[in-house]
Amino acid sequence: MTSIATEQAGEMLISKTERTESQVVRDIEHGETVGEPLMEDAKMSVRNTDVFYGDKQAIFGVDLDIGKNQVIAMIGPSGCGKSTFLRCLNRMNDTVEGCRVSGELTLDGSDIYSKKMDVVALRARIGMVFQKPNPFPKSIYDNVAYGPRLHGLASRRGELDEIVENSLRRASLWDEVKDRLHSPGTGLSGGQQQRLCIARAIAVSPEVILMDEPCSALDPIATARIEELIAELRENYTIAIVTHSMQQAARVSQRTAYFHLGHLVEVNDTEKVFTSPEHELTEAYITGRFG
Amino acid sequence: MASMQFDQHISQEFNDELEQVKTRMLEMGGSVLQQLQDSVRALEHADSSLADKVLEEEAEIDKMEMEIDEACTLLIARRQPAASDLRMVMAVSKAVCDLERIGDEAHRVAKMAINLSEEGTAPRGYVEIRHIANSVCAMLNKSLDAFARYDVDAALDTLAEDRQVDMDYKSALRELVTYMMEDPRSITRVMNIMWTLRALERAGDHSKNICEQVVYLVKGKDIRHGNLDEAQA
Repeated sequence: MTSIATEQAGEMLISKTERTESQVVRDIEHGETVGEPLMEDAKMSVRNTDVFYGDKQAIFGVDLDIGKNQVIAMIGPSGCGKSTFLRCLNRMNDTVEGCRVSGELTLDGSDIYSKKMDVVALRARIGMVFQKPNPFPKSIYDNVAYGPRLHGLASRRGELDEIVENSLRRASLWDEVKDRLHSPGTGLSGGQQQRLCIARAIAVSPEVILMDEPCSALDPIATARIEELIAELRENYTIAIVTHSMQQAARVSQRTAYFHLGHLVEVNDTEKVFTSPEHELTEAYITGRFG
Repeated sequence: MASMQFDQHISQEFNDELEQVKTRMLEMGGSVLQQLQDSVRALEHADSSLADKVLEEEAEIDKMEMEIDEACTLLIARRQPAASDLRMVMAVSKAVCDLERIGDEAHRVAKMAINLSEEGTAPRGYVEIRHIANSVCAMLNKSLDAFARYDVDAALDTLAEDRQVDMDYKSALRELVTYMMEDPRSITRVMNIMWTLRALERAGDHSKNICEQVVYLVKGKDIRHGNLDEAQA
């Protein structure tokens, strides 16, 4: 009796798995993004973008607009291309051997992959915060002052002090470090280091901030601080965040983009994605049915 | 519909927990339906011992409500459900609340049954009670069935039936008012009949709410306080 029941259960399980996989294949072949990937008055626009690592295609024909002063969250299982996509947005993929990006990517209407584009200046306009806090082995002050110095944003020492203080304040770190600005940044706690990296990113007054799993190495309290910070930063910056935490995406973003095997499956208002997503794959992923 | 497969989570425990809150809600629905039917039967047959049974069992319904609600709260705390899972937990939690209220209405009908049985059987008004009670019990039964099967069409059909119950209720009231005008001595008794009808009509409204939760659960659309045509669109 038991073995028959187990066998039946096994068969059921196999048929369900097959169904899911056939959905995936169908989706890849006829994959059109459901929801509302495009919008008016976008800060950044991505059209028909493919990304290859050598012969292997990692991103397939993505069309997406990133709205001004909005947080857009990119979610999806590991290897779905969300980080790759994020790195296209400030040409971080240029540094990856064999990586090729095609399509049209614009910031305020100007092509960021054009030959005339100064990549260093571009990355000042589109800052990035990484998964692991990566402060320079310098003092807290110099970490934040590095960008403004590089881009010649301050002509006097006083001006630089001001930029450093403002950036640290906006990153909610000032009160914790104001008495030890000249001690090494690496001596801070993980959460403080990540906020230092955010301060460093905003010191050069970027327009867009890209965040690649900024809280995955942090404890819940530090995570809450960063999330609070994202909500404040949204008033002045456009933010694109890649996260593995679905709850985090639900909390911090206004729009959510779901990637699957290199395809952009669904883009919708975050509220909609987390209460009644349009696409089956999105539903399956956010409810933990596979992924 | 793929999204209504609650047994495919990576976590088997999550599957079990979701299945359990739904099953327990449906069990509670079965008990409440039984309570409602018993209370009406007690009234029809002037059976005060059956009415007493309904009054006693209400505590059991209340207990079920609290247990299922607690299970839903724990599920949210532990699993942070999203999309259809979240809608399932919310729909169960709200349906349980409506079921408990139907239990309260059954309690009211049972009390009236005791009052009326003390006064002896009264032929007037019982036809209306029987008619409306049958419609409401059928509505509750169908709404639970629609929930169990995630059947939006059945839920929408049942929603439409509530209009008929409301109309029957209004015409029964008109008729009862004429009885009272004809014979003021019957006012107390007719008032009891009216309260009973009112309780049944409310039970119908709560069944309707459960159907609205079914639509929310399956389609993700909130159709409360809207008109039915919109919901069917």
